[in-house]
Amino acid sequence: YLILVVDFSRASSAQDLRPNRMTFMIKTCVTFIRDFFNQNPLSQLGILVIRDGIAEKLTDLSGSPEAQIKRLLEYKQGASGDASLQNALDLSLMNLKSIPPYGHREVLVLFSSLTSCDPRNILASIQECKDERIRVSVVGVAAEVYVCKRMSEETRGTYHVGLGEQHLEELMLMHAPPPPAIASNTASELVLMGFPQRSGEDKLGQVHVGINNIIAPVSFTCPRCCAKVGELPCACHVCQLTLISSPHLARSYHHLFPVNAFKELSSKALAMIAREQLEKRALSGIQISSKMPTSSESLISCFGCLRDMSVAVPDFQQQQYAVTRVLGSSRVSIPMVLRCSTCMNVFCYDCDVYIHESLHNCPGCQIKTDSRAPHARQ
Amino acid sequence: MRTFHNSCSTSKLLPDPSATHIAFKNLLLFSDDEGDCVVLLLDVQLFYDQVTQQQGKRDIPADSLLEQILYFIGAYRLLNNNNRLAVFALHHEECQPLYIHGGDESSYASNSNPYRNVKEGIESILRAEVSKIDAGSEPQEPCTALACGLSRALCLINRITTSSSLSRACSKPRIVCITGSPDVPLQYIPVMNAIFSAQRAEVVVEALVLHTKDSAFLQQAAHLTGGLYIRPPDRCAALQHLVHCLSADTETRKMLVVHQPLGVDFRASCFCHKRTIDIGFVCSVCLSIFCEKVSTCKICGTDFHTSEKV
Repeated sequence: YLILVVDFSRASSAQDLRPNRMTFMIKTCVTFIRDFFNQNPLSQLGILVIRDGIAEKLTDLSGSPEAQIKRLLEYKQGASGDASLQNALDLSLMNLKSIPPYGHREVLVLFSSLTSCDPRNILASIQECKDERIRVSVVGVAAEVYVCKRMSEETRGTYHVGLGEQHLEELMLMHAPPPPAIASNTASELVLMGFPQRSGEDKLGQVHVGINNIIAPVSFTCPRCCAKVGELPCACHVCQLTLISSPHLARSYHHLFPVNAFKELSSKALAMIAREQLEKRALSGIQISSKMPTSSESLISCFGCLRDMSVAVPDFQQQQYAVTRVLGSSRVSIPMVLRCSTCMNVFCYDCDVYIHESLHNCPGCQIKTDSRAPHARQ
Repeated sequence: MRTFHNSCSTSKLLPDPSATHIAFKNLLLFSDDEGDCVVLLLDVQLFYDQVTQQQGKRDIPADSLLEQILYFIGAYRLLNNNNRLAVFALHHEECQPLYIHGGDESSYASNSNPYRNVKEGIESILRAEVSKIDAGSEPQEPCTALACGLSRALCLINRITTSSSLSRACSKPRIVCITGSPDVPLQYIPVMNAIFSAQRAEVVVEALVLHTKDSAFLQQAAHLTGGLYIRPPDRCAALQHLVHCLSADTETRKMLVVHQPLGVDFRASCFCHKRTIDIGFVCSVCLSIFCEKVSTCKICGTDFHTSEKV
C-alpha cells in the first residue's frame, strides 16, 4: 500500500527541468504508477498533493492505475505556495491507518522544495509514522534537505536526490519493485480471496456491472454473492470480498523464486566444452542429429536464442571455420558466454539480461522442474 | 496495381490518382514489407499413436496430421518472402529446435529445407521414444515441456527483434502452440512468468489445442497477450483452422473475422490438492493459495495467528 505524495509548491514551477518541474514530475509519476502496478498487481496506490501549505488527497487508495493516471494528468491548478511535509505525513497516516496489519505501508514523497512549513513539531509526526511501521522514502528534485534525510532514516526508508532528468526517473522506478520486508515486522495472515469467472464477450449478454450500474459486456461474477464487478482486482461492492485473478498472484511469484545468476565462462572452459562437443559428434558421426539441422557449422550455440557462439572459442576461430565465415558475421566482437550452474546450459549475454530482467525463467531449468516441485528449488 | 487503378477510376471515389498511389503504397508498407515472425511450438504428443486411439471416431493418423502441419508451414512461407519462422518440438524431456529461418543468418542456414528438417526431426524423436519403451522404461504421463518451449521462443524473438530492425508499427511476433496434451500443474509458475514477459515484449501467444480438454494455461496466455485460442471439435480440420485463423499476422487479422474466444477460466488451483477453487485463502507472505484454513503455510512455513485477528 503506497501513498505517493507530490510536491506542487512554488518551487515546482522552476524551469530547470524541461519544460518545468511540475510537468516533468507528473510525467515521471505516470511512468512510476504504471511500473508499480505492473510489478505489484495486488497493491493499492493513492496520491496526495502538497500545495499552499496544505496537503489534499487527489485519489483514494485503489488498485486501478488508469483512473489515477487520469486524475493526475487532469490536475490543472498550477504550483503555488509552500510545501508542508508534516501535513502530508499526517494525511498519509490517516489514510494508511485502516490497512490490515499484513499490508506493507509506504509513503513515497517527490519533494522539490527546499523548505517545509509545518504547524507543529515534525519530529512528532515522524515518530508516529515509525510507531505505525510506515516506511517513508523521499526522492528529491532540488538539493538535499536535512528534515527529509532524518525522516527517511528514522522510518527506514531511502532518500535520494536526482541529478538530472534521467537520473530522477531511475530513482523513481527504483521504488517500484517491492522492498524486502523484515520478518518480525510483518504479521502474516491467511486472507480470504475470491477468484471470479470472466463472462464471455457476447454483446447480447450485457449486464449491469459494479456499484454504478454501468452496462458492460464483460463482467466478473463474485463467487460468494454473485454480484457483477467490472475489473480486477477489486473488493466486491456487495460482500467486500477481495476479488483477484490468478495471473495477479502469479505476477509476484518471480520475486519468490528468482533465477540464479549465471557465471561467465573462461576461455579455457569454453575450449573444453567445444572439444567435448566435437568428440560427441565424432562418436555419433553417421547418425543424423536432429538437434541442429546444420550441425557442422555451429559448435556452441546459446540455449536461449540459438545464436552461434563458436566465435568465442579461442582455438577454433582460425582452424575449423573458414575465414570468410568469421568475417562475414555481423558481430565482430567476441560474444560473452555464460552458464547456468543448475542446468549447465550456456547462454549469450543478451539472453542473460533478458532472462534475469524480464523472463525470470531459466529455459534449461524448466526441463528439470518436470520431475520436482518448483517450491523445492529454493 | 493496374486493376486497382481501373476500379478506382470507374467508381470515381478517389479522384486524385496520386492519393490512390500513396494509399496503396502505405498498405504495402504496412502489412508486407517487414514480414511476420512466427515461432511454432509442436507438441510431439500429437503424433503418438496411443493418443490418437483415445480420441475416438473421426480421427486421422499421425502422419496425416504431420502433413497438415507441413502444408501450413509451406503456406506461411509462401505468403511473404520476408516471413520468419522457427519450429521447436516439445516433448516431456526437452524442447528441440528443428528449423529456423530468418533473423541473422549466423547459426542456421536459411537454405535448408523446412519440410525435411521438421519431418525428420519429429520422426527421430518418435523413434527415440519407441526405442525407450521397447527397452523397458515405463510410459510417462502425457505432458509437454511448455514452459521450456515458451522461454526459448521468447529468447529467440528477443534476439530477432533487437538485431533486425523490426519496426513496432507492423505486426507483432507470434508464438503458435499446437498441443495435444493436458497442462502440467507444476509448470504453472514458469508458464505464467513467460506469459507476462510476452505481454511486456508485445509478443502474441496463440494456441491450437487438439485435445479433449481445454488448456487453462494457453487460454490465459491467449487472453493476456491478445492471441487466439482454438480448440476444434475434431482433429481432421487442423489445417483449416491453421490456414484460416493463424496464418494471418496480427495487423491483417483486424480485417478478417476470426474465431472469437468465449470465456476464460481464471480460477486458481489450490496448492494443497490441486483442485480448482472459487474462493480460497491466500498466505500474505508467499501468496500461495489454500482451499481451507491451515495453521501453518505449507510453502513458506509461516504460522498464522488467525485466532486473534478474527
